[in-house]
Amino acid sequence: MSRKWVDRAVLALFIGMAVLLYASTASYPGIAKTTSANYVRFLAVFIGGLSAVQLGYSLLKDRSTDPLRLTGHLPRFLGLLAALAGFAVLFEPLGFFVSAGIFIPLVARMLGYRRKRVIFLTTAGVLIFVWLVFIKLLGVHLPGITF
Amino acid sequence: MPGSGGQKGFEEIARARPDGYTIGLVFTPQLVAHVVSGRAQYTLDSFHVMGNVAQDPGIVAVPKDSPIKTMGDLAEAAKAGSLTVAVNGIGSDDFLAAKQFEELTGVTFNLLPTKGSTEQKAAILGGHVDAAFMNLSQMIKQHNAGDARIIALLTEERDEHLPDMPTAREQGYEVLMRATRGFVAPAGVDTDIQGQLDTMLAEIMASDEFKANAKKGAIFLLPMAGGDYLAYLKELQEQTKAVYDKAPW
Amino acid sequence: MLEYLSIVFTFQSLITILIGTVAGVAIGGMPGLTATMAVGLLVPFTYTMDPTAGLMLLGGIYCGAMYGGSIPAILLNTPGTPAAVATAIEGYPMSRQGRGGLALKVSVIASFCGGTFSAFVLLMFAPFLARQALAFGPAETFLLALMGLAGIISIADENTSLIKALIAGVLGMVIAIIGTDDMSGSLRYTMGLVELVDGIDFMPALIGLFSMIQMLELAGQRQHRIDTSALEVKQKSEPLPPGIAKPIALGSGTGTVIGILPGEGATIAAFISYNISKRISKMKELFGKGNPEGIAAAEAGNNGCVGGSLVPTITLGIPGNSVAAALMGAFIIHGMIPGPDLFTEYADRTYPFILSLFVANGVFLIVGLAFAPYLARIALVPPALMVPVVSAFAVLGSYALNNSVFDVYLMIAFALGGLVLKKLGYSLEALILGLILGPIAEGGFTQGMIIGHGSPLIFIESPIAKAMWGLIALLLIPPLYSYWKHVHKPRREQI
Repeated sequence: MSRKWVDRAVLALFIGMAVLLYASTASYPGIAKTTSANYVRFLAVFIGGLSAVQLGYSLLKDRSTDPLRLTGHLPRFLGLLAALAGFAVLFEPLGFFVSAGIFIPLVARMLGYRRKRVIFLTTAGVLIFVWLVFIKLLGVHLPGITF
Repeated sequence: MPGSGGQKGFEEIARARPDGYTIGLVFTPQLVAHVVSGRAQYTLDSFHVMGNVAQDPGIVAVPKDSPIKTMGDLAEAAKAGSLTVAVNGIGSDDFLAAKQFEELTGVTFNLLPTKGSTEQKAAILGGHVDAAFMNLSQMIKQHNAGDARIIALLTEERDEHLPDMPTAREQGYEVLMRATRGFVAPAGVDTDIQGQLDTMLAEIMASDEFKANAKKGAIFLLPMAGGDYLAYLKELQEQTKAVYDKAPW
Repeated sequence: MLEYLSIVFTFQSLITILIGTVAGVAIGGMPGLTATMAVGLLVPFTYTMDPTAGLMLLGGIYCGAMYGGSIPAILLNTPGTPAAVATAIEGYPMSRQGRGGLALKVSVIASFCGGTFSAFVLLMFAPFLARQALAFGPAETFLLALMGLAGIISIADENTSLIKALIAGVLGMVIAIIGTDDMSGSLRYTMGLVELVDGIDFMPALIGLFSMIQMLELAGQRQHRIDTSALEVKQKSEPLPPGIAKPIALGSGTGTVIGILPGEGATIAAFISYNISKRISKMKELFGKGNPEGIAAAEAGNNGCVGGSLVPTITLGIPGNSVAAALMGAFIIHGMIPGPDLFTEYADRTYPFILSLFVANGVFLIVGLAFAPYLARIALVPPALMVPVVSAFAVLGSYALNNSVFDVYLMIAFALGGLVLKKLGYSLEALILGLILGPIAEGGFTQGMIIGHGSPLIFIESPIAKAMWGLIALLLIPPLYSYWKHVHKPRREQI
């Protein structure tokens, strides 16, 4: 997909959002009618107007055809995203220490790191550090196994 | 106090696992105000009420050089022209007290909802508003230092911390408001554990160490057992509903 | 005063300050751990401590964390606090050029100067200044937020298109309106999610938009080596650039003044002093490409807020920002209710606390200078190890703020959406600025409208407001004018 068209789609999205935002201020209750509603309307007009100008400029002037490249290495990019999502899902049932103990070595290997000792030591270091700072020092309650 | 008036925290307690290990601090009247205004997903039935710990009397404060010196002055000034009055968010104790006063005297304030007592304090000390409905603990030091003036207490009786300050009732305006802070557990906790929790709270409250610490931290204690506090909450919910039905927010 | 000094210079006090400050640097340096959180969590802990020692510990954390935020901002482009976003704009390019050690040095010296100056002001003029700050009402707060937002223009005029930077800034402000409407108490745009009742916290956004995007980009690099040869060769020693005295002085003053005023001052202060120093610099064209002057201004600015924010906190009980509010909690549990009492009845605790702030600044200066060359080598850690470790902290930091997995998903969403916007040429710095300043602007605007009985005249009536409009004009007109001149030249499109 070309960068130009993604750009235009995003701008159109902003304009749509601005219109909805403006319309929604009509239903603000009570005192918000004369205060917050004005502020939100101002934002809506501002973002909608600017987006329209930028969209017009893009439609008239932009002749570029370069594609939108989010990343140079798609498998690793998607892999990290998937690993992150997995981390988030497992965070509550397994707790931080177990899920991070899986996540860090997994991602390191996925990104092509092969020295097992270094990976192990790094992972252990992070876990001990978090345990010291979060559990011992700050007393934050993390889900899952507690010590 | 965040903008949502504690609602997020109340919801979390209500939805927590009733294992007896999760308990929460609640404060009124926000707890019931959220129910009344239909914003809350919980009801009073979502909680096992353990008891109340502390209270904070409502007050009315004005800037130090304000011509308003009594509740009578306040009512007159409000009749003469629109007064800007700071309250701590919509549905808060301050807001409800201001509404009671409006109802009683037939005046209309230009209400300024703030994001917390800090902003109210700054507005009063800087003279940006004409008056504020607040709580005693938030203003007592400033009142004693002469940076602001409290003109009335909104409790039934005078308060030991400020014995010379007349109540609004003494001044002929029946406006009553106090904030309370108590502990609750999620509903559905085992009855045995319920009993243990309630006893634990009562024991802590009765200990001298706790009383001494509370005094040091300028916390005004008001012990109430679970049953009494629940009755108080129910009554408060009725009162709040009456205000809400007349003038919804 | 000597007796107070003797309280500070005991072995026990010095160790307490040292621990607090070093812990603060680490906390500020980690994405997701904030000074507010650390101070708030440690307040109950100080309950059992000697009051003076407890306050010194928390003061050290506050000072250290404000500086600590700049370290990852410079080395990894992952600001640990929002106030360090401006630092990252100059610091990361320097790090890429192998001048990370110098950038860290400039940052620590500027932080020290800003912090020390503001602590001095706190010590000498606190009661007087707090009274002046009271004249600052909601209308003026609104204008202060506008001044901070003017920074968007200065982010924009070199690299990204001005219009897109503005759109990004307003987008941030639009995201910030989600949550409870403070005026009516009603919920807006929360889509029935209880998690959104308090609005979107800026921390998941900051972590997603900077730390996580940086990691996604590192992971997606085609080859996995950043050019480290420059780093190894030039690392040795580079003298401090001569031009940084002026921005440091400017930032210290700006930071202290803005710190005293209400609102989350550190981010505003950093951006305003960055913006002004860019306007008056002789090397304007180097801004955005690694100019130490920008780091100096931003860091002196945000550290200047530390002392400044404590001015109204301890004299009037009106905390200047959320860290100061948490710190005020520590005063209160020890029975030290802010007000004149602190300087009379509790003078033997308050003055040692203020004096300890000087020591804390000295501690991070020494630690920072000593470790700068080693810290700079963090940039040499292979990305394949860096990415999982920073990502794990990003997830943990997003979660720990509110104990909510929802914030973790939010962080990932910000990273993905932000990456698309970044590739399209939108400025993420502008977006985060809008997100943080939006609520301050809205609060000031809506409250000002009520106090003014619906008339917008309140925003121009007071002498302070008039002076602020003048400053806003000075910040806006020159860059807009130079942008106008540039418009006719063909612009380099950024990919």
